[in-house]
Amino acid sequence: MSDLSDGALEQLGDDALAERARGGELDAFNVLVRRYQRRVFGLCLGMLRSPAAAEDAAQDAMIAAWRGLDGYRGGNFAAWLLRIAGNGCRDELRRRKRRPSASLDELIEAHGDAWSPPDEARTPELAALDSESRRVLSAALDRLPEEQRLTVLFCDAQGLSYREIADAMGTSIGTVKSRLNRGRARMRQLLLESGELTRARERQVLRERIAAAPPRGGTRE
Amino acid sequence: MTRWRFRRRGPALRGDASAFLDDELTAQERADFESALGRSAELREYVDDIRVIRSQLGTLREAGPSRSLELTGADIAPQVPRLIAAPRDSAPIRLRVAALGAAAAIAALAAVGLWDALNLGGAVVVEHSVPTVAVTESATAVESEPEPTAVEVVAQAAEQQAQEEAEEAVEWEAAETQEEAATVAAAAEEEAEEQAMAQEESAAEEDAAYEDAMEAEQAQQASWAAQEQQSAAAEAEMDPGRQAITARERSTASDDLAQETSASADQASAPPAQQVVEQAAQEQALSEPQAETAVEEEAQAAAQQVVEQAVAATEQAGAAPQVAAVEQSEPEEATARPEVRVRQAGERPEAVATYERDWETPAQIALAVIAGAVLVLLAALRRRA
Repeated sequence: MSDLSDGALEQLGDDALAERARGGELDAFNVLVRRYQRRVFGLCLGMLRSPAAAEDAAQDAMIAAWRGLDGYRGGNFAAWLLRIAGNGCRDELRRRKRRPSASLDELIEAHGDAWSPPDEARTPELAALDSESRRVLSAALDRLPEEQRLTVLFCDAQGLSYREIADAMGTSIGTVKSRLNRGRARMRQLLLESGELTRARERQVLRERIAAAPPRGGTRE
Repeated sequence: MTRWRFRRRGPALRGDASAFLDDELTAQERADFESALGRSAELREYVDDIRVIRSQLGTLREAGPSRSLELTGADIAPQVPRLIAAPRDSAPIRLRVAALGAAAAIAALAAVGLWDALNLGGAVVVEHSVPTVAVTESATAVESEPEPTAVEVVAQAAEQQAQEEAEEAVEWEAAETQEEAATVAAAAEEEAEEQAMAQEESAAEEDAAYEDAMEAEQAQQASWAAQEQQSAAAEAEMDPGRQAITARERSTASDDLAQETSASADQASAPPAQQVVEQAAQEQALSEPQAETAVEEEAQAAAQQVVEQAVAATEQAGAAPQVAAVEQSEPEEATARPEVRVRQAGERPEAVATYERDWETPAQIALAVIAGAVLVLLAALRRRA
């Protein structure tokens, strides 16, 4: 058990928590889990497109990180954790290729909008727009090569820098740049061909207007 | 002009557009790109599209798991490698029962074979080696004799087996030697016949030459007689009475000479052929006994040698009966069931006890054990898979 309370642990930085976790403090490591589980899950969902598989992959990534804490040399814990999750997703995709089961479209139909988290603060209109945008984006992402998809997710969905992406993927910054350019251009081409990009622009404008508008309850009052 | 410049430098500018949106450009690169962005509407459209896509992808960060991913003590417990994992889907019960039954049967078979090979209980050997008493005349004597132990029975059986194998080897060697002697005798006989034929042919050729010489001599004598007759006729013209007497004497002498010539010719042709034939017959008669005698001697020597070897093998039979059996006997004989019987008094024992060899060979035992282990391993791997 940790000699610090949960609140005190929450105040610690990633490296300090990792050092405590390396000493066997599970509570310290769980603080890191709570801090990054959403990003890890989002990355896994972007790669695997199945909420159940993404949760399993994210859980496995957390366990692998706990067991591999001795390999963490400090620096960017999020990039190190996402690198573990990305490798796990790639392994899972390879296993799927060897043992194909249900198609991704079938999984999406079965699980619905996996990208939509329950958020009571969002309006129903905004939730519907986000749901449609994510469905289109997920379809375009699925058509990208594996390395480009992971790079795009690292950059645009996880907000990692080029250096962090290069470290997480074990490659150079130039390669990250190239993959990112090709991935984004490919997504743009796909969305243009399907007409979804125009609608995405419109939804983006509408989304900004809805977000900028005052809440309805306040207007009535 | 601006559109042309963008198409010409489009790929490079689009690459910079991505880095521009991610704020990964240097100050100089950013200034250059902003300058190009101000001149090219197509580049601005491209950057806007990428910005929308980037913004849309950013919403993915909002997704979260439906449950907390915090670890518990069970998650971080050290993993114990499980050689045999629990089956995820239950296999057909009949298949599992059949696999377990086969594994148990192979294991039991291997255990019995190992037990038999090590002769731990000796029951298997004794069971087949217990003598069957067949007594008619000396039942009392047999009953009074102590029952041989299993080891003694096995030793006796091994000795009997070795003796029989030695006898078989001797018989085989003798038969082979006799066969070789018969072959040599037949070859000698053929050679003698060929020599007799050659002698007959040479005698016939000599007879023909002799007859030709006699005919030539008779012709010459006849010519000589004719000449003498002519000279006598000429003299007769001068003295008829003397010539007649002389002619009569010459004619008589000529007839005698002709008779002598024919008789000598008959005598000269017949005796040599008969002599050759008789000589050939005598030689053949002499050669056959000699060949037979030599072959018999050779066979006896070989048999004596084989007997000596068999005696030596018999002496060593107590130490290595299996080796002798392997070298001398045939496979069918080697796998025969053991059988030991006590004969009547004075009767030569003929019973032979052999080993039960199905499970005595260590290789067979090892093979059975390996087969059982492989089967169990396969079942375990299947359950793990």
